[in-house]
Amino acid sequence: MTTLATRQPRVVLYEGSGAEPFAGPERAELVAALLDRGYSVTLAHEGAAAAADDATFVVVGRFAGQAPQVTAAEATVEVHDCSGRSPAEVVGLVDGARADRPLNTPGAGDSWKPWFPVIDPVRCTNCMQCLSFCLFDVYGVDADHRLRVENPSNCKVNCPACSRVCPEVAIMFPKYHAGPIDGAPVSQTDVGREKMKIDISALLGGDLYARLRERSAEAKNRFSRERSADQALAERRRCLTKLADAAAIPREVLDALPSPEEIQRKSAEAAKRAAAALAGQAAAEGMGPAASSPST
Amino acid sequence: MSGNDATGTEPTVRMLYCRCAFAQVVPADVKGAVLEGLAGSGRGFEAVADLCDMAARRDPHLADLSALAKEGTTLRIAACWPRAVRGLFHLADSPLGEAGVEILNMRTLPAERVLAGMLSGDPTAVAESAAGRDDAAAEQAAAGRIAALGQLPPTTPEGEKR
Ligand code: SF4
Ligand code: SF4
Repeated sequence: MTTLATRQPRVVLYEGSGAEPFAGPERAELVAALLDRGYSVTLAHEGAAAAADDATFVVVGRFAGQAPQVTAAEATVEVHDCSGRSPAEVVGLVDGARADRPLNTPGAGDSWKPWFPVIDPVRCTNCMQCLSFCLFDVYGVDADHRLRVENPSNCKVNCPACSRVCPEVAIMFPKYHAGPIDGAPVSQTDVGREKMKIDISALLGGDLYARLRERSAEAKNRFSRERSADQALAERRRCLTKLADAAAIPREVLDALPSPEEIQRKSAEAAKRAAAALAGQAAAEGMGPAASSPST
Repeated sequence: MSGNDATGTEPTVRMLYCRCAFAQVVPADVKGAVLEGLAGSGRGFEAVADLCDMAARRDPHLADLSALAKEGTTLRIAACWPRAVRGLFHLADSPLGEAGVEILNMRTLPAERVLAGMLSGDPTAVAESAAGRDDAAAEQAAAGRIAALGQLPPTTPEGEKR
């Protein structure tokens, strides 16, 4: 699991009074370079101090040696004159000012790809099927017993499996390649996708994880007979190929599933949490509409 | 932080550009041209590496933006599907209101349409952003996906054929 810092560091690019503006193309190139490095950027024309917030650690501008002092909510912000520097040099300057503040840099070896389920609150009915399906504690519930994406960074990158169990087509993965999972409008045909869910169930001969449990158990038995880890792994891969194709679950995710016992334990735990949430919803409804706030 | 003077945009508009830096779902030429257009407009704006990343962190700045829109500022966001962007703000405990928020879809619109929405508030660009490419084609694509899945033989996985 990746632990996420609260905010990505922010850079203010200041072009107000006391600073010379960048030429348009140069400004675009500099902003792109900072964004591709992972920074947030505010282009401010007036009030460098007002543009800074507590994530801001540096203000850069062409100050011609007259850099202003800026204090953000919680920290003194460094101000750097970047006159005469190329965009790459400005990024280097900003990197130096960042010091040890964490930064999630796209493409870096240790970066986290922001891949996680996003709920369409207009469609979600809080049925908790996704919560009971997910083995990785991505989902939780809020104080009103409504579904909440609790731990986005627990999600397995490129795995959109839970979107397939949602009867309301309410689960999106904005970085998925196709609609409606990517957030595109949901068509009538997609709503009839409940069929797809049933087909998957039929294909798997039960629910997905039950099937996975079986497959893993079979692979394990064979492993004990054959005493060959390689063969067992190869077998497990073959067994899971169709599951991966049918449910669009990346094979690495299936290969990385925990032991059958652990899967069983996690499923039972998730089912229990889902049941508790549903009971909480029912109790709140019983107490009248004031007890449960509507979805926004 | 509040108010629009800080970024020098016209008093009632705040612009946010998403770079979608961790994935290739927004065409590079579109997001590049949109950034050039915004940077060349002479107006202030905010840019984030990846709105998804920001939402996962429940970055409090999303709450600031959402509150501004509720207080009467028009928030214009260049990112992807409006449904996804609204879901991301909701996930970050900063749901966007219906009014005062205009989302431009760089996944489907050409850069000039996105810029028409961002810089001139063109309402048709906003409507096109939510509507998708072509409803008939979307229906057909959805039907295709489902049919393809249905055609998968309800057989035992290959590994069982021993
Ligand atoms: S399965 Fe769908 S409708 Fe049910 S709680 Fe999850 S997102 Fe909401
Ligand atoms: S909001 Fe859309 S455009 Fe922005 S990072 Fe997420 S998927 Fe990409």
